Amino acid sequence: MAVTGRAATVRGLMLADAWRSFRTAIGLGWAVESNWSDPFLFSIYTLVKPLAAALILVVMFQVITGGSNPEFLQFLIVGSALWNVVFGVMAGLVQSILEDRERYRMIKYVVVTPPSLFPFLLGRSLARVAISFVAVVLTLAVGVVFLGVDLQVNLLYLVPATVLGVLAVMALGIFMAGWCLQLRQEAWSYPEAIAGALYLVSGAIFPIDILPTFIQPIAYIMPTTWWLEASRRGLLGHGTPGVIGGVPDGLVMLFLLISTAVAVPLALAAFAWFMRRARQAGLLDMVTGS
Amino acid sequence: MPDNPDDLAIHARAVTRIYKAKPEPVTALGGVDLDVQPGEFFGLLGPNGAGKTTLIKILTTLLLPTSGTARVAGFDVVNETAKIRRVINMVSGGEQSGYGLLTTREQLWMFSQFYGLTQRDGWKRVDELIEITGLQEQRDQKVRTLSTGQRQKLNFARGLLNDPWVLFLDEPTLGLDVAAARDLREHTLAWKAETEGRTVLLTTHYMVEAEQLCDRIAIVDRGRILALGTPEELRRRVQAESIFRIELDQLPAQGGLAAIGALPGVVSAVHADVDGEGAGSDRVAVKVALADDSALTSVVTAVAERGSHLVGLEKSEPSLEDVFVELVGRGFGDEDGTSAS
Amino acid sequence: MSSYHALAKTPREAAEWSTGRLIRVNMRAIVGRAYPRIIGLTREPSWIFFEILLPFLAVSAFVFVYRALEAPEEFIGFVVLGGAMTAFWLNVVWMMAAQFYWEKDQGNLELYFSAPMHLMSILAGMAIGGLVMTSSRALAVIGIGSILFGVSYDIQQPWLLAGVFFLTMIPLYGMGMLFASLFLMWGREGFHLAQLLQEPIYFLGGVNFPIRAIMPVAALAIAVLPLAVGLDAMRQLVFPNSDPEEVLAPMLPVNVEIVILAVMGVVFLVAARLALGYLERLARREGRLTLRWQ
Repeated sequence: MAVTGRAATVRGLMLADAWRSFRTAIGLGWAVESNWSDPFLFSIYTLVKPLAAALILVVMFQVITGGSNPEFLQFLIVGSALWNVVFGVMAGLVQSILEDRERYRMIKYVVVTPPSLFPFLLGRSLARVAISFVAVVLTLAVGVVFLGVDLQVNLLYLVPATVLGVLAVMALGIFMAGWCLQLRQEAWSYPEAIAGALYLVSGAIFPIDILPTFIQPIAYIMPTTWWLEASRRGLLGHGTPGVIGGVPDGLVMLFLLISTAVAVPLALAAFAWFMRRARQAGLLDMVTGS
Repeated sequence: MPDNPDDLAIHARAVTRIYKAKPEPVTALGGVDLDVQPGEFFGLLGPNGAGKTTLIKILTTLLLPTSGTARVAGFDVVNETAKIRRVINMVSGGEQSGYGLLTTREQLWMFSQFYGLTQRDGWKRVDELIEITGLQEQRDQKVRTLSTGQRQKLNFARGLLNDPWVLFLDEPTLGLDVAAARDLREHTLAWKAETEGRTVLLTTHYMVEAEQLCDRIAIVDRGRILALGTPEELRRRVQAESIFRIELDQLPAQGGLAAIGALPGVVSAVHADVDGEGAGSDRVAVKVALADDSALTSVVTAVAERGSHLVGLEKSEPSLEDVFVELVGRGFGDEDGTSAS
Repeated sequence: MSSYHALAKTPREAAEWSTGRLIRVNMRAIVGRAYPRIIGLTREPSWIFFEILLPFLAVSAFVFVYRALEAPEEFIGFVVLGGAMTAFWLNVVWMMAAQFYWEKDQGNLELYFSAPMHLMSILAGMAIGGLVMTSSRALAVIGIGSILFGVSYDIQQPWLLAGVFFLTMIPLYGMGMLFASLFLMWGREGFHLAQLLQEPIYFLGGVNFPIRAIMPVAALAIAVLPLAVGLDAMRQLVFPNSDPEEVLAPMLPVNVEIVILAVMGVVFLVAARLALGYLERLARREGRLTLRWQ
């Protein structure tokens, strides 16, 4: 067989291996996430947590404005609803790493398989991501029914925005997962901490204009900022109060595309570097405990 | 030897433990009776899943029996757990427990505080045990950097912190290499010899370990004790006589094999194969079954008097696995296809 | 040779401990268990980033929401103080309530149960260690937040404030001990419950807004949540000249809230002790103490 033919066959086999690993890990992730002995509690958990987060903002809004700025309320609710995806992705990816390293102690066995960790990690975290979308829908539904959120859904805009946004958030999550692999201590709370910090620089719950001037550029380069803006336009039919609200729809989508296109390869490269470092430092089968 | 259950180190009567499981409940222990004397080194020997760990967990107050009674150092395992915990300790094998960010010394000191040692006594005891277990070089190393053998030594040192009256060892050499396992056994024996009255209950599926360490052994399978006795007594169940393989330069001139068989104390004498260096020469090998080991001297003397010279002598004994097979009809690993060790 | 049982001739003698000895053993166990938490502060410097900086950024987000809504500056102070207190709540939920779950996974739990000290001592050690760890985080959030956002405090009774703070910690960590027992039994359900106990508690506790804003639910919160009561009391002591507008007014006077905290402290600690005993027995009966990945 010619060298090029052999290389193509090997590549094909590698892709097949990666796909199989990814697919299997989806099943595993679902088995882990759905391991609830009480489905009722699971429902409560899925509904109450995101709703409480949104309600905090609603009360803050109500206390100050008395309800006199419905546009801002919609801005808050949509941002809060979509943030469940950010947290879900972060938590899904980071906790997959930590659980498989610390609790199930299987990560080393996955790393030595031909496709290694990456496709497994993606598949394993998908269940959590899927559950987070349920939280998004529920929060929006409560917003529509009880809080007067007026949805004007434009699927043609919303779908590509969602696809790019999820890719961007996955990129951030992959970066975080690789970073957490380096930590020599319990890192279970870190997804939440990171998601909380990103809250600040993504225009999730307040317009970016409110940020100090020196932080605003960070917000403008974050793909999550453009994803949230694009999603608001796709859901509400209008943009955010403030400067970013004046950017045309096409440019918002373009900025989302560009920032995602930069974030994804950067995250992949970072993850590869983190893995190499973890192998060098013997962190792949380390158990911490504190 | 005390008979009163309160004076025994461990006393168990009809102890059962049934776990709720699907599709049907699992009987881990099906009525265990056990008496261990103070100062004894007692072994529970059996394959995986025999119920050894379940029994240890009941005796160390981690698990309640479903029925039956058990006492440790005279205290009831169900109602007097606080008192039991003051006088026991346990060491399990294959464990990864420990706080990764603490050093070896700190980890032990922390546990010394749980047993109520004063600050000064605690550090002193910790340093003694580090010395005893050979962890001097690892004393200031973080626990998470220790190898498996070092962790188990640390675990073992923790088990001796409070100088327990009853020490429970649950497969303590699991996963250790030969040298590390031997070290651990030696430390256990040394500790036990140091103070009178200290009792050890060891669970293991390593027969060599049980034979080397234990005064008495109970063979356990499927939640029941099948046989109990000293290693010698257990082997006698399978083979009442002592069997020796004697290699001679030639058969005795007068009477040959029959003459050996007719000697006092000899139950039987039969030809055996000569292998190794002696094969093809005039050497003969004889397997003699003796009623008692003491008859061996007279056999050797008689053989020499009849003109034969002793070239080799070997005792052939059944192993504890032979005992197990005799009792149960299968080897240690036969059911799950693994080999016994 | 060890002097641990030096005077005892039999194990029965060795097991007879005086009340004094019992107290000393449990006190030492508290110190022993607090040690890893406190030493962890110096051994893992990344906590400065994850435990201080990032949470501070999350608090800042809520500050900016109020700025976007053009809220009076008093609200900024409320958020900064509330954000600092969430650090303690998270410590209670993850490092107390869920701790036995982690310990069971690590194999440490059975070592605790077979040791002679009471489990409440282990939990108390965790609480004290956690308090030290978390106080640094909370102080950092308050310090940085106050400087960056220009929050000014008017503390006229600092000792009373300190007293209210510690009085809040007792029932808070008592709740953590109570949940630790529940998690022991509930296994993975307990782990999920820990995740459920964040945003809903922030909401009910009025972490980011004056609790009066959610009347009548606030009344229930004040009755059962140490975080709600403690935060309301501390806000009164830290911002005594707050705008007398109804929404910023406290729920109850400080002295009433002090009594509520004291009662809560006793209730939660007693409940934790009873629950721990009952649930240990239940866990031993069902074999859950050593069952991993449950």
